[in-house]
Amino acid sequence: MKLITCMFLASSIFMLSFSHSTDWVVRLEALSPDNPAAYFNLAEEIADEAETEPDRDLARHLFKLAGVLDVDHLGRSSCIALADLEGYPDEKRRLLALARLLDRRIAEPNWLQHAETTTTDSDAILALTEAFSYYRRGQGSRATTSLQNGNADWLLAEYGDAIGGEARFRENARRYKNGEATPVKEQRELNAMLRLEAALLAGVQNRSWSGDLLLNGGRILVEVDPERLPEALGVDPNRSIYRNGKWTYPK
Amino acid sequence: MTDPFLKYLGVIATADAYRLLALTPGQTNHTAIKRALESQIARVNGHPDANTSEAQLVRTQLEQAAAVIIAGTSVLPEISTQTTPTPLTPPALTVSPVSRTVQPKEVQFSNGPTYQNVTSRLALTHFDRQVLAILVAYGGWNTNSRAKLVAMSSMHQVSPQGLMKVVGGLGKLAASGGIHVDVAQITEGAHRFANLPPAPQMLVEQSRQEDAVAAILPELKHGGTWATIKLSILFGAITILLGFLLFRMMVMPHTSQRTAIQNPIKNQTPTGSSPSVTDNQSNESILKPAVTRFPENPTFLGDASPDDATDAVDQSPRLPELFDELGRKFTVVRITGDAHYNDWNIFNNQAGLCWVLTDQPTYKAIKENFAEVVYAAADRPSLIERLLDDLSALAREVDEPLDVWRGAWAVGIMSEIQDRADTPALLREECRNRIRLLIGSSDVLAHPGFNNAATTWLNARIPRMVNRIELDADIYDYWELWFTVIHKVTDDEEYNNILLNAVESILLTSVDLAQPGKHLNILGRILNMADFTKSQIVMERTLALFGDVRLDSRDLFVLSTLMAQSQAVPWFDDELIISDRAEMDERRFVMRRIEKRWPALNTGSEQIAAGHGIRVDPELADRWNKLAKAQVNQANSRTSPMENRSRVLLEQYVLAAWLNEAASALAAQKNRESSKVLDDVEKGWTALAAKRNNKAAGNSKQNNPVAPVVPGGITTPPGQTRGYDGEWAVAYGEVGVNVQERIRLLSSLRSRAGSDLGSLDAHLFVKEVYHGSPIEVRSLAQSLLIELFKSGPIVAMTMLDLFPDAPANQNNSDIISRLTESILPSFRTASWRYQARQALVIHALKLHPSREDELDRLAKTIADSYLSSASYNRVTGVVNRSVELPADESIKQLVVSLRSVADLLIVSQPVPDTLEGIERSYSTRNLLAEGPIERTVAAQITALELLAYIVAAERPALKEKINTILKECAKKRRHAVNILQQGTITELAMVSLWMLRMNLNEDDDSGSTS
Repeated sequence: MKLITCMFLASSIFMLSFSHSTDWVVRLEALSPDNPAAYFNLAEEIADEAETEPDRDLARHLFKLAGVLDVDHLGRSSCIALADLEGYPDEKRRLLALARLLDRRIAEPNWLQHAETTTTDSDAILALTEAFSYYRRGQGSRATTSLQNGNADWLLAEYGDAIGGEARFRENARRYKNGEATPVKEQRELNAMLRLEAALLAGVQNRSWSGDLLLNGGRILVEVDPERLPEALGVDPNRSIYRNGKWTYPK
Repeated sequence: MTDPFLKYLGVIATADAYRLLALTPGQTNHTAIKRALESQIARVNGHPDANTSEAQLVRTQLEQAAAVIIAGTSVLPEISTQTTPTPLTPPALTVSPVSRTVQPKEVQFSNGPTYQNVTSRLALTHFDRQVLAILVAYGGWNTNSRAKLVAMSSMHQVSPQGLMKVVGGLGKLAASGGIHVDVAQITEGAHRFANLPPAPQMLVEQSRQEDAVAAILPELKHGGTWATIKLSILFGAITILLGFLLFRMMVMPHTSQRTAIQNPIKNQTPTGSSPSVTDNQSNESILKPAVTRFPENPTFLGDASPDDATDAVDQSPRLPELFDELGRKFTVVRITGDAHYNDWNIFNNQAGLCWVLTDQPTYKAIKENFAEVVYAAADRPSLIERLLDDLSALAREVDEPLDVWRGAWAVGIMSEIQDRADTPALLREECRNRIRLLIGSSDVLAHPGFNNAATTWLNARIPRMVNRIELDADIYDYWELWFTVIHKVTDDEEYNNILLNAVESILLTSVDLAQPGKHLNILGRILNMADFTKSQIVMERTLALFGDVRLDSRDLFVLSTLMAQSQAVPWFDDELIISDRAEMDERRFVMRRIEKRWPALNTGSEQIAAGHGIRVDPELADRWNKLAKAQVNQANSRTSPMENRSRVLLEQYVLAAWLNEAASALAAQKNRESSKVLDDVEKGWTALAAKRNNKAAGNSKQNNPVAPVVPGGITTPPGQTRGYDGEWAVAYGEVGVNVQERIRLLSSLRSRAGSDLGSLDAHLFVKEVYHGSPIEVRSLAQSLLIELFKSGPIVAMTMLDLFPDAPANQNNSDIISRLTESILPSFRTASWRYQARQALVIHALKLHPSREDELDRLAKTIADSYLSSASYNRVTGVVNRSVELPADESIKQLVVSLRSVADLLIVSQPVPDTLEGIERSYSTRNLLAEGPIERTVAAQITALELLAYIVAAERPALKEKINTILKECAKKRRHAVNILQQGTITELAMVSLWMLRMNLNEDDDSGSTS
C-alpha cells in the first residue's frame, strides 16, 4: 500500500508540474469510475497522440486505472497497452505475463502468444544451425540463404550476441562465401556456436543450465500476482477522479 | 386368472403336448422328447416363481405331456389350473407371488373356485415374510426399514424394482382387505432356510434376529392381543434404550470409535489358538467395547548365528593373512590363474560370513588387507574387473539367509575402496560402476563408505524379503540375520529408520495382517525392536503411517493393536487403537492423539510450543551455524561485478543449497550425513575465500571452490591428429575414381592417422562417410569413423558441418546413431534431420570441453542436493534417489517433502499463507517460468514458503521475524539482476529460516544454540 501511495504521490507531483491541454483536462475531469471504458478510450487517444514522456505517463496512468477498475473486461487489455508503451524489456515481460495470467484467470483461450512458441520453431532453429555449418565451412551465401527460412533471421538477431553479434555474422558471411576459408578462427568462437546450437536444439524443456544462461542471459524470474492487480500495476483504484490537476477520491 | 403355461413357457394351457414341450409335431424320438422335457422343466425352474404350486402344476403337466407322446397319443388329460396350497420344496429361494396378487386380474381370486380357500390365508414366501417382519419391526415404511429391505433384497438378488413390487403388492393387498396376514404367517417357514448355503453376514444376522425373536416371544408365531401388547412393550423398551445410547454417544463422543475393533481379530490368533479376548468392560458402562488382544505377542526367533558363520568367525583371525598373501601373489605374478580366483572367492565368502560377528581388530585387519589385494591388481584392468565381478556376485542374489551378510560385505567393501583417498582412479571407477549397478543410489555414490553402502543395499532388500515371507521356510533366519547386520552398520536413528521401512513395506502388502502368520510375527518383532520412546524418526515415521493413503485402516488397526500390546511401547494404551474402518479424518485424529501422547514428542512439542525450535545435535548445529552466518554475511556484503558471473553465482548457490541439505539432515537426526555435507561446505567455502583473496591480490590463478566435491565423471579425452593435414587428402584426390586405390588409402588411415584428422583430411573423409560410392568405399569409411575417429573433435565438427548436405537415408542415420550413441527416429520422419543434428552437436560438444561445462556440473550438484534434502524431510513415501533428475525436477521433490511435513501441522495463522494459497502462488509462478533455471527458482520460492509455514507453526512467536525474512527475500529477488542470484538469495533465506527452526542464535558469533 505504501508503494502505491508513493507512486501515486510521485505521479501527482509529476502531473502538477505539467499542464495537460485543455481538451484533455476537460475529458479527464469527466471521467467516472462508473465507466471504466472511458478511461481506457481516453488513454488510447492520448497514447496515440503523445509526443512527450509526460503525455505517455498520463496514458499509462489511465490504462492502469481502467485495468484495476474493471479487471475482468479491461485488465488484460490495459496490461498489453502498458507493455506496448514500455521501454524496459523486463518490465514489458512482467506486464505481458500479467496479461497472460489475467487471460487465464477469466478462463478464455490463451490467445497471447507465449514467447516460447517462437523460439522453439523447429524449422527456424534447424535453418539457423545449418546456416552456422555453412558459415563455418566458409559458404557465406548458403548461410545467408538458409537464414531466410522461417524465423531463422529473427533467431540470429535475438541470440546473435552469443556468437559475436548478428552484424559480424552477416558481414563474415558476405566475405567468406566460396568455401575456401572459414571465418571461425578461434576455438572459443567455435565453442560458443556449438553451445548456442545445442541450447536452441534442446528446446526449453530439456535445455541445460549453461544453455539456458546462454539464451536468456540469466534473465530473472517474473513474479506477479493477477489477484493483486493494483499492487502489480502500482495504482490506487480509489483515486480515480481527476480534479484540479490531481487524482483524488470520488466524493 | 393368468395362464401358468403362458407365464412359465410362453404357450397357452390348451396347447397340445408337442407345443408344450416345444417339439416338432410328430416327433417320436425318445431321446429328443426327454431332452425337450428337461429343457422345459429347466425353464420353469429358472423362473422367479419356480417354487410355487402353479409351477409344480406346470412341471407335472410337462411330464404328462412327455408320457403322452411316448405312449403314442397326442391327447393330454385336461389341464387343471387348480393351485394346491401344499407347501412345495422349492428348487431355489425366490420371491413370492405376492407381487402378482396385487394385479387386478390376479386379485380376482373368486374367479377360480379353487382359489377361494386361499383368500383367507395367502401362501407367503420367506421373502414376503422377511419384508413384512422388517416393516413391522421398523414401524412401517421409513428410512430404516428401507435400508434394511434393500440390503435384504440384495441378498436375495432381488432388484429394488422387484422389492418395490412386493412391498406395493403387500400394501395393496392389506388395503383391499382381501386377505389377512397374521404374525404367524409372517414368521412362518423359517426352517426352510436352515439348510441354505452360508449366507452373507447381514443375512445371517437377520436370520439370527428372527430366531431370537421366535425364542423370546413364541407368541409372535400365533399372534393375538397379548402378542401385540408384548410387541408394544418390546419396541417401547428398545426406544428408551436407543435414547439412552444416543445420549451416551453425545456425551462421550470418542468411545464409539472403539466398537469397530472387536470383530476383525476375534477368533484369530497368531498362534492359531483359540481367541482370547480381554474384556476391559468397566462396570460403570456396558457400552465400553471390549478390546481385542493377541493372546501372545506375535514375534519370532530366527537363527542369529548359523554354524557357517560361527565357523567363519573362528577362522577369521587367519583371514587378513590370507588376503595379504593373495595380494603379494598378484603383485609378483603377472599372469593369474583359476587358483587365484578361487582363493579370492573363498576368502571373500569367509569375510562375508564373519564380518558381522568377528571382533573389531580382526574386522579392521580384514578390510585393510582386502584393500591390499585390489590395490595390487589395480594396474591390470582385466584382473580388477574379474575380481570385482566375482565380488559383486555375492550381492546380486540373496538365495539363502547368510547371503544377507555376504551381499552387505561385497557392497560395503567396494564402497569403502571407492571412498579411500589413495585408491587409484581406475579401481575407484570400477567400484563405482558396480555399486551403481547393485544399488543405483546416487547418494551412496556421492557419499561412499562401508556402512552407508551396506545400509543402502540392506534397505533395498526389504521389499524382496517381505515378498518372500510366506514363500520361504527360512524366512525367520533371513530376518534375524538382517536385524543383526543392520544393527552393526547403522547408528541408532538410521537403525530405527530402516526398521520403519520394513514396517511400512509389510503394511503395504495385500496380506490381511489380522490373520495369524509370519507377516504378523515379523511385524510384531520389528515393533518390539524399534525405539518408540526416544527416537524422533520412529515418531515421525509412525505418525506418517496414519496419514498414508496407501495403507488400509485395517492394517493400522493391527499396527496400533500390536503397539498397545507391546512392552516396547508402554505409553501406547488401548484408547489409541484405531478402528479398522477408520476414515482419513479419524486416522488423522488418532494420529494427533498419538502425537500428543508420544513421550519424545512431549519434550519436543513443549520445546516447540515454548518457541525453542526443533532439537538437533548441538555440536553439529554450532558448526552449521558458523558456516551459515559466514555465507549470509557474505551475501549481504557488496559484490563486485566479477562475482556476478554465472560460475561464481552458481558456486555460492551450491554452497547455500548444501547448507540447507545439512540442516535437513540435522533435523532428521541424520548426523553422519549432515557432517559429511558440512565437510563439503567447509572445503568449498575455504576455496571460495581463497579465490576471492587471490583476486584481491591480483593473482589470476583460479581454483574451483566446489571442484573437490562436485561429482564430475570421466570425460572422454579428445582424439589427436598425427602427421600433416592434407597429405592424405591430396593422395586420395589423385587416385580419382579408382576404387581399389581409394580403399587402400582409406585403410592406410589405420596406420597413419591418430584418433582424429586435420580439417582438410577430415573434410574428404567425412564426404566419403556420407556420400562415398561405391558402397564398399562408404562402408569402409563408416567403419573407420567408428573404429578410429569416434573421439576426434575435428572429425566430429566435420560430420556436423557436412550434415546439411548429407542425404537422409538409413545408412547415414545408422552411422550417426553409432557415432553419437543416440537413438534416432526413422529417417523418413520430419524430425529426423533435427534430431540427428542435435545428436551430432552434443557429440561435438563433448569433444570440445569448455568452462561452461562446469555450470552444468554445478547444476547437477544442486539437483543432487535437493534430492537429498527431500529424502531427509520426507514424512510419507520414499524419495527415489536412484534416478538422476535435473534440478527443476528434483526441487519438486523437495517441495513435496516439505508439503508432507506442513500437512501434519495445525496452524491457526499460517505464514505466509495457507497451504492452498502457497500452492496457488506456485502455480502462478510456474506458469511464468521459462527454462529450467526459472522453473527451479519458481519451485524453490515455494520450498521457502513451505519452510516458513513449518517454522511459523513450530515457533509462532517468531512470525514477525519469519515474515521479515520472506519480505526481504522477495525484495532482493526483485532487485536481482540474474536468475542465479535469485536462486542464491532464496537458498540463503531458507538458511535463515533453518536458523530459527533449529533455535540457533543468529547474532552470536559462536553459533551456539540458545
